[in-house]
Amino acid sequence: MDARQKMFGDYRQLKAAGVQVTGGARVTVAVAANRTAVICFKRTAKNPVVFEIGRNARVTITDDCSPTLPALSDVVAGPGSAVDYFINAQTGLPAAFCYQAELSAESSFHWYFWLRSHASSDGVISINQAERSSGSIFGGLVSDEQSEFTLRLTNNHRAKHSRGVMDVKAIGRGSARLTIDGLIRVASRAAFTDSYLTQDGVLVSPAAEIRMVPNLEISNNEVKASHSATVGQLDEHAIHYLTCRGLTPAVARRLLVKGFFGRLLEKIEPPMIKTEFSRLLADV
Amino acid sequence: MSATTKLNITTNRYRFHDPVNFVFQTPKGLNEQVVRAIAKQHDEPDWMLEQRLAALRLFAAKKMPRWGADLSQINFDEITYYARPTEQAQDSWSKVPKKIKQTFERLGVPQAERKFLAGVGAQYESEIIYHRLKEKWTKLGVVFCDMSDAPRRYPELVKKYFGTVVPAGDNKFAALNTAVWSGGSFIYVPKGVQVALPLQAYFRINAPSIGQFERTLIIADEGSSVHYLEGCTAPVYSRDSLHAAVVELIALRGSRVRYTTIQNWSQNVYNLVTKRAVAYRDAVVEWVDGNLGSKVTMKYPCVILKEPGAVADILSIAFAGRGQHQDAGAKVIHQAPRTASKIISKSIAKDGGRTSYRGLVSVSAKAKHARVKVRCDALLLDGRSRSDTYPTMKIRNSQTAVEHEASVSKINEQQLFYLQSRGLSPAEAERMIIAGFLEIFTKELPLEYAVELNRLIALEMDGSVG
Repeated sequence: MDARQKMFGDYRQLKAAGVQVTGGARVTVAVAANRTAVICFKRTAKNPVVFEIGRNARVTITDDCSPTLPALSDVVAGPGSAVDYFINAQTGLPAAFCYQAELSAESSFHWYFWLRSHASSDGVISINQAERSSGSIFGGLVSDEQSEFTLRLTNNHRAKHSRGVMDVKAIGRGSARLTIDGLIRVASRAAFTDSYLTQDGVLVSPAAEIRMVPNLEISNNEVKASHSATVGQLDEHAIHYLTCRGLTPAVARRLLVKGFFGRLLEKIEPPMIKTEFSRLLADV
Repeated sequence: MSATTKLNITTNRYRFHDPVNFVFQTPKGLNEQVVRAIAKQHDEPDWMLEQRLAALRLFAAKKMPRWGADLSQINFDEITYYARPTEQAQDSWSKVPKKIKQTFERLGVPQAERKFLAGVGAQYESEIIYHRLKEKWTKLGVVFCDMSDAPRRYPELVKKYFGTVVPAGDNKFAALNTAVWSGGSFIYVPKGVQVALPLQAYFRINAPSIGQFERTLIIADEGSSVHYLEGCTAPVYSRDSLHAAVVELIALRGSRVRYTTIQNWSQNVYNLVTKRAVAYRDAVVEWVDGNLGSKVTMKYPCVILKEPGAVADILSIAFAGRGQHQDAGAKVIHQAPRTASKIISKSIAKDGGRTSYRGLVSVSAKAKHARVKVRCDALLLDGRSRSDTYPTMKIRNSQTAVEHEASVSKINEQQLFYLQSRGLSPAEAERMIIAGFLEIFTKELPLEYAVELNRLIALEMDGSVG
């Protein structure tokens, strides 16, 4: 069974939807122009995957990660295309992962992710924007037990009129060590950029640690760029309120954690990804 | 449209220089002989010389930092590390040599002392040339003297605290300062004494390629309070100068210390400063840091909140024009429960200048119920300039509330239009908006300094419209 089959199952069926899957050291998935496609795959082989999205195509991709195999994806989004890419690492993250999106003019791209970290992991999720493109990164991550997890997010604005939002919510449990390193970069040519980064973390155990580094590098004054970061704990008043209503402390905490991540649901547009995200949240 | 208002402001007040005549100066470059010569000039105890020599070895061993601003053009072999302008410091302006006195009169230092200061120190090149503390405070046991004299006059205090907050091995420039330091202020405020008026020091580099390495040590004993003001200027030369100062501040239990700096070095000065405070139980430390001048500034005022109830408040502004890089920020280390900190940073970049905020907030595992708020705002006045924000938050305690926010933008066009429609010229409107942006900082300064700062900002803004 080659890598294509391992990851995409019966990939030939995708051809009818204008999706061509080519094997090799890198598996290449090409979506023809003006087509609409839903592509689901599992990381059951270590091959990097490259997506080439044609002009004006509409694509939804779901990527089920494996904790034992590297996760490497490059997406090249053609002009006018719209891509929603969901990274599901519910079973755990590999030691290294790298997700990069290269946008063309007027394309729109959303990274969504749900990451659970049980061991050491270090990875990147990034977007290189183009003129009038729109790129966002939304996701939640839970860092468990003794994991050491570093997530680097970059929204790189290289041309005019691009827009971006990055919103990450993270929970630190056990004796986890979690680092979130976000960067908004606006090049000198990237006038009229509108970009925002928010990083929120909650520590639910005394031994957990979190390191937040939200960075800005702005080289053009005709921009709106800002970021915010918060780190705190679950609201003790809210826990008390819920336990007064008959919930156990453990259930109360779980409810608050779901509420903390639940705000991301409002930002997820594709129904399929929203449903999957809700299901994963139910298991937190 | 109204006529443009002419503001009679000029940099001539700061950018002049006097003919260079020294009583003593070391040859260019740094080696053990230079360090021994400096120690001999100060007639220091042996333990201070030993610290200097150990620091010199550390300086040689440490590498240049690979982060931050570009320091590759600093040539340590071309710098004069010590230059003495007079035989001794005076306590009366009439006794200060005429040329030097004129320098400080042009800068407004004696006038300020008369009007609203408790004491003044004036440093010219490597040494304090004037020092006076009003009698009222001397009687209460307040010490405000030249740091060069302090090891001899107050050895117990200096031995106890010198190098404890910023050890020589902290970084390469702390090692350099510990090896060649000269001048600076030593302040001790006894228990319960509230020094109601500010103490001021003014630092002036006059000659080209001179390094200034003042060392300031402030100890506020339990329940005391003091406000220390510092101003720095230099004339413009084509050769670069180096200012590598160290400030150590110890705020003992229940004390309150405010340290205000208005830095307006000329654009050939590398301004590399290590400023750190330790705050004990219920102490409050306030850094108020204005960075307008210099070619490169790297300065991150730091407060270590060592005991419960300690508070840090850091307010900084940075203005970077053509060819300038202001790499400034703040650091707060929460080591105990119920500590709180607030950091506010405002920066402006124009004509290709670059401002970078670099900050650290660290909350240790023991620092329960710590509260932190950080806010960074930056204005970019044109498309050639750059603004960076690199804040790091390391949180090791779950019972903490940490908030950080930052924004980068240009001057709001609607505000500009509104002011112009009320009769202000574009330049006046822009100056007013900038003054409003910086108001949170200027309102913390004594009135005369606030007025002067507004003038300096207006001068920097001159020519920025259109």
